[in-house]
Amino acid sequence: MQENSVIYRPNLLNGANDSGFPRAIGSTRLGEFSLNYYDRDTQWKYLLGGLRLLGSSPEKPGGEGFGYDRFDLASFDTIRTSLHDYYVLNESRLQALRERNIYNNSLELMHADTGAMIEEAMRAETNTAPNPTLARAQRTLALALAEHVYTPLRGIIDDMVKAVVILLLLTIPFAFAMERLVFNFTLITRQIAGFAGFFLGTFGVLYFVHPAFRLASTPMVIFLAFVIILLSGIVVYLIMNKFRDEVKSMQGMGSTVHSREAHRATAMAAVLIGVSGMRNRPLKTGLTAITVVLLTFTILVFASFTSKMGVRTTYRDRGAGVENRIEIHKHTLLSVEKEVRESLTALYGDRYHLTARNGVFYDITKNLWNQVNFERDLVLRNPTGNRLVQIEAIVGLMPGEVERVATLRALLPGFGAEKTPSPPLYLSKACARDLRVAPGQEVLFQHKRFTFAGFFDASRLQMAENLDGSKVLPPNYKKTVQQNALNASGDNAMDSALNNLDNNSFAWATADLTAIAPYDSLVDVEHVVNFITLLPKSPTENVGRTAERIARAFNYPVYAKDDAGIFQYFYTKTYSGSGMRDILIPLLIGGLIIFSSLLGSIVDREREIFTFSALGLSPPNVAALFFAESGVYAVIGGVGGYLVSQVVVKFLTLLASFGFMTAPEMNFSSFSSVFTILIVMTTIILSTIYPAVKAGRSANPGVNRAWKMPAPKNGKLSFKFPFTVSTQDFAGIISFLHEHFDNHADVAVGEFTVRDFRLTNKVVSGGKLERADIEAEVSLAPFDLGIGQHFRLSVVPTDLAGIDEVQVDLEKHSGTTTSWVRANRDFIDDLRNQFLIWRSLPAESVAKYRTQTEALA
Amino acid sequence: MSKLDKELEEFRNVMQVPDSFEDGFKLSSFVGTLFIALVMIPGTLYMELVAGMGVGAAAQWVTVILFIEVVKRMNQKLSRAQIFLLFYMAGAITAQSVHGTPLFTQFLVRSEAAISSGISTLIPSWVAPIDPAAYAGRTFFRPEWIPVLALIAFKMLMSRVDNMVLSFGLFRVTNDIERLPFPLAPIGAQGVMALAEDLEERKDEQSHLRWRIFAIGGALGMVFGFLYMGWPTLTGALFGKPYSILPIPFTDFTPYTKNVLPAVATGLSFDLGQFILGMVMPFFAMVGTFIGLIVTFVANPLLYKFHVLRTWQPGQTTVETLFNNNIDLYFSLTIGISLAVAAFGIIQLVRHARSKDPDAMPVSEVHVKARGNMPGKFIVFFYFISMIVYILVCGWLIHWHKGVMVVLLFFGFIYTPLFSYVTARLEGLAGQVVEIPFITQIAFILSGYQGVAIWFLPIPKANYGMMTVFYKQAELTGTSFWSIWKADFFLFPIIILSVVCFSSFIWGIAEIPSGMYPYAQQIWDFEARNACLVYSSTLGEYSQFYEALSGVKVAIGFGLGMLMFAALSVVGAPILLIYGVVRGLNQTLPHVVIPQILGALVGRYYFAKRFGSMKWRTWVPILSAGYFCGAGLVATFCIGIVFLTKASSKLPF
Repeated sequence: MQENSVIYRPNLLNGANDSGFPRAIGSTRLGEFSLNYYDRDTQWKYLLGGLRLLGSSPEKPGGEGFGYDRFDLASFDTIRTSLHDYYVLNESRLQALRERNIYNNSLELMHADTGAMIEEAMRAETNTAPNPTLARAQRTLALALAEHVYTPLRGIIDDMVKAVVILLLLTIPFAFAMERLVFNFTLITRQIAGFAGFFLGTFGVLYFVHPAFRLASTPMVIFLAFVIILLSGIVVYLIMNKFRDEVKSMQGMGSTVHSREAHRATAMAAVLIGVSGMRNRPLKTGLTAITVVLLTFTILVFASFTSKMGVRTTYRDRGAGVENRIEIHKHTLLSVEKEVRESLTALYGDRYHLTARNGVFYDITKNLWNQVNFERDLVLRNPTGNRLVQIEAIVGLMPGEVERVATLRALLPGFGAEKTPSPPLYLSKACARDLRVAPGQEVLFQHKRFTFAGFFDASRLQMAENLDGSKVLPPNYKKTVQQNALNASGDNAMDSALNNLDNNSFAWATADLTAIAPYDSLVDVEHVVNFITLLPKSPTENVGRTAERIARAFNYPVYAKDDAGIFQYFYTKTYSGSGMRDILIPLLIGGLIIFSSLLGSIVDREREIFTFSALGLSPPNVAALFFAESGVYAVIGGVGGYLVSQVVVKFLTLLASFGFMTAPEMNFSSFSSVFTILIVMTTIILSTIYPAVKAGRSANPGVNRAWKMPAPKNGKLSFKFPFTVSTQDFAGIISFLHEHFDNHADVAVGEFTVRDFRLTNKVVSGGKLERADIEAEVSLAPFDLGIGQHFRLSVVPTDLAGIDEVQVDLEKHSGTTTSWVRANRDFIDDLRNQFLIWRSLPAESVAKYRTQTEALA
Repeated sequence: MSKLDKELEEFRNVMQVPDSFEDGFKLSSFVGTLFIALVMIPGTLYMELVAGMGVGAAAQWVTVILFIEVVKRMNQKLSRAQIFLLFYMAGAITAQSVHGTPLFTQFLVRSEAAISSGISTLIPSWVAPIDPAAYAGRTFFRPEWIPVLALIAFKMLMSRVDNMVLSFGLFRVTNDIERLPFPLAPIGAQGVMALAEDLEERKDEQSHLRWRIFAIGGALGMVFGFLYMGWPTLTGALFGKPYSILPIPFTDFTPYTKNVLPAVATGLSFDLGQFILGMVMPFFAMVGTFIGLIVTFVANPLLYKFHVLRTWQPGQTTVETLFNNNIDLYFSLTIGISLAVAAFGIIQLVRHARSKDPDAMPVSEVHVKARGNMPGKFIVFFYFISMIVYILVCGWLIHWHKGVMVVLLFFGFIYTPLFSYVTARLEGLAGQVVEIPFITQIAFILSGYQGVAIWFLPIPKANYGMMTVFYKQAELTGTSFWSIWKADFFLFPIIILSVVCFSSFIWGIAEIPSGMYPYAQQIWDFEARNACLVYSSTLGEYSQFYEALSGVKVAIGFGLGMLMFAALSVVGAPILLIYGVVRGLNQTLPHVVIPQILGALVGRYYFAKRFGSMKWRTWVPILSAGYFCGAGLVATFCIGIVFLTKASSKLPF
């Protein structure tokens, strides 16, 4: 399997259908060549790294591929072809977006620059004095620019697909809310039909106005997947609910009347009541909904969170005493592509001194097998004394850089002016001592002879830094990996793992174990060119501008020092929220509209709230009612506003196509637009918090929202519940609680178990039991704490005839007082819930329980 | 009463056939069918191309449960017959696969495998047109595709009608005359019953229990389905590499047991579904299967030692081992044993016909009439007409090649009726299907035909015995057979139109296979190569199938089978045991037999003792139905997510 490390599978596609070739196609990279093996003459396309060889034409931007004609292949210019294909493909995609009124200025500008560079390259070739080197350099940089257009352009389409998925998700609550508000059908079939109608209608509008459906076919497929997930999800939920009910039933708590499901159902009912309540005030609801829709529309028009590609400039340092220059290197200080160096020389050689650094060191991202041998060979030898010293690196510098950069000049005075029989080599004193060499003596490195030219100050070298704060010394990658516990298999994985480290996380080579030699002397040993410096020839040269231009084509940060200081130039995605300040006021207004509307409805609906409260809606349920209302406004406003925006743009574009006006540049199709509507929706929901809390409070005026149990006295707890019951009702409640306690008899599950349930102090009238106290022995969970108590529930008449208060008396039998009080919170809460549930029971159930009680006489 | 009769009787009593039968085909069923066709057919086709998995049986449950929920909220009821029919129609629709559409053939004819082997030009235009113009717009709505679509429609129509009529005939024989128990029929039927009872008043503890058991099975299926299938599916989609908690589909020990058990496929399936299936299956059928497996464990090393199993090589996997053993011995032996099963069935049939046992008497004519009936003469007449139509169409397509005509006659008038009947009996007794592997390939090779068109013919080879279980389920749920036939009548146009339209739509999205359809891109070339390898066997080249067929081995198989039947009958062994042994010897995947026998033992010696034999026998099919429903739902949910994640990366460059 050794071959696997050198033979890899490229992205070679069948030109006919853009699918990979079925059988493994070996591709061996030998130097600059790729060898691909295939048994038939089929058109091919090649995608690898920054190359896209597609055979594109304006008619077929995706290309038709290339044949295997050996003469064509012999003269195949990969850079020229890839640049052409990128350009044609980018143009077709940008055009598709332009046709849908979507413009991304940064990409358009960069695309135009690519075109200009292609023209310049052509001019360089066709001039009276042709300059093929310059033409190739132009194309290389143009190719890098084209790739920088291509990648985000694909992202824009993906971004639209994501936006559609979110919109489809929002379409579900939108369709639900619209059906409830507009029709409020009672029959389930009509409800489904209404929901489906709104859903399909919304989907239809999106389908016709959203460009994602035209640029990619997947939204339809996503919709399908979405429906399948939704349907299966509903059924999973239904079955799991059944299962839970059955388990409860097996545990003896099967009577759903007593379960908290009923309580949950009440909460759901609160939501539905909230929506229904909106229907009762059609004018107010309609106007508020229209306001929110228009608000969303306004905000979408004013604000756009656009992501654009561009060079971000960051100030690093004042750089006092540092020469003006541009430094280009990867963050990892690994190899910089040859094409970059060549292109920079051709393009900027007339205005800058271009120098490079190379080095001989252990590159952990390369093939391990080579590195094992390589590390062993990283040894300097003194041939006369036959001494060996294992070093960590040799740094190769160009005299031009040493001469112009003060730090290096101070480190290596006279570098490049030596008159030695073989290339000069500089060592630290410690290294020279170990090697036992004196200046002028010969030193061997692998097969190469050097002359020991002198010492350098190891501490100075250790301190010497580049513009970005990295060291002049190369990193010791092996130590870096160990130090940061990096665990990555494969060259690319290790490369990206190293790339994620900051400068301080790198372990640098030891200066004492590093040698310095001229750049040229290392080119015939296995070396890595990893650093390029551009030193301006003229002090008036605009270094920053050049650095910015280079950064656009380079995938890593470029550092430059000019008169203003040291700057980092990095080509990346930048988000800008244009009009953010403009939308703050509309957002505030929108939030306040909802706020005042809901706050006003508390006053309007005070009686309604009391009624709901009396019917069993708890304060949180009343608050939920308000949240449901604002949720509906949020969904209708968000989705409705979005649909209005899209339809308006479509309409304006249509008018523009007839020449009535110029179509405005508005892109509502990206994910950032969806993000905008999510902000609007969040604002609406947030503005509900206060009204909802206030409504919750007014549901139970004068009483703490969370009722608190009083403190125990001498192992006894006595209190009255914060509500009253009618004397007539209490008869039914006795049997209702009896049934509930029966479910907990002798079953050590749930929050408590009950023994010895009995009725005392019976009041019988006409042979029917009218009233009694309930007494029982109760054990509370957690049962291993052994908490036991005597329970007594009775009614106490109030001043109002026929209205009683509920008195509870608890007496601890066993367990610690603290745990007894804590455990009672759940028990009492459960008991209170039973009273709430009792109020939501249908009349026939109440009658049934009353009859049961009467029979207990 | 012998053990045999006891167990058969238990199965007979699991569900009682109701007194009345209802027409289950209503407007709601039809709406349900349209709904499934619109959502599930494109979903299942697309998913197969993208993820290699369809929505399958879970879609049936999704449809039925959603419908029941809606109906419940309407305060209305769906009868058992309606639910059963909806279930059936959902199953018929979601059973569609891309291989039943022209999507695969359009690829095959242009595949590297077909072109390089020269098969591409031999594929007839009624399979896939050769003209490149037919592929230009990636649509099937072109004149060149008419013959292809017509043939697909013909196959679909004939198979539906055949299944409807001829399976009914077999059901009449095995159910009404032979009174076989159909042990697996209650699985589907009990599930439907449980769902139906959710709509009904819970009259008694029994009906309440049905739902409880179904829900427990469903939850079990969901939890296990998530761990077994869902987790690897989701991790594969989200992280690019599936992480399996348990090996799927089994862990293969064969390469490691090469010295201890040469030529024996060893391994273990961790699928809980197999364990549950073992509890459902008749106990003695499972014991028989296990015995059959043990026999192969003992016999195969000896057969390898004596060079009967020659092709197997140490280190081979389960699939390779089974394939090689089939070629060397089991292919011919299975034909012989299957013939013995058929012969034994016929003997039993004759015995039953003479029997005066009241249990073996045919059911009443009133019952048959209420259930829905076709006259026996009509069935026989239809059978002859159907086979003749098949043979005439095939003959016309193949230019009346004499050898092929003989093969067609063999399939139409010998193989199909014989094996359909054998299967119907096995289904009726042990819930098993019998097929002779590679019989089609052998017959085609022996026909002397030179070319590849023969492989695409709508030959009259089918196994109508399998659908007898479905009729039994319909009977148990009180579904009038007429409503089934009516549903089939409405289903056919919906299915054919949906399949053609959605196939064309999916092809229109992107070339198939291509980067848009990663599973097809990865696997179809391999499938095309395998297919071309098989097709090349009728191009006059050497074929392994010649080697596989041996008259002597067939005779040995037949002799062994008859001997076994005779011996076991003499000692009074349960009949299910006999069929089980046949199943075990049939080299069915051995890895599932171990969890199945464990399930059977746990069911019989723990649960049956705890709950009572009869109760357990009634409950376990419901548990099983719930389990497979739950597992399928989780799988569908996870596949939907895979679908979503794969669909969001679409541009190849």
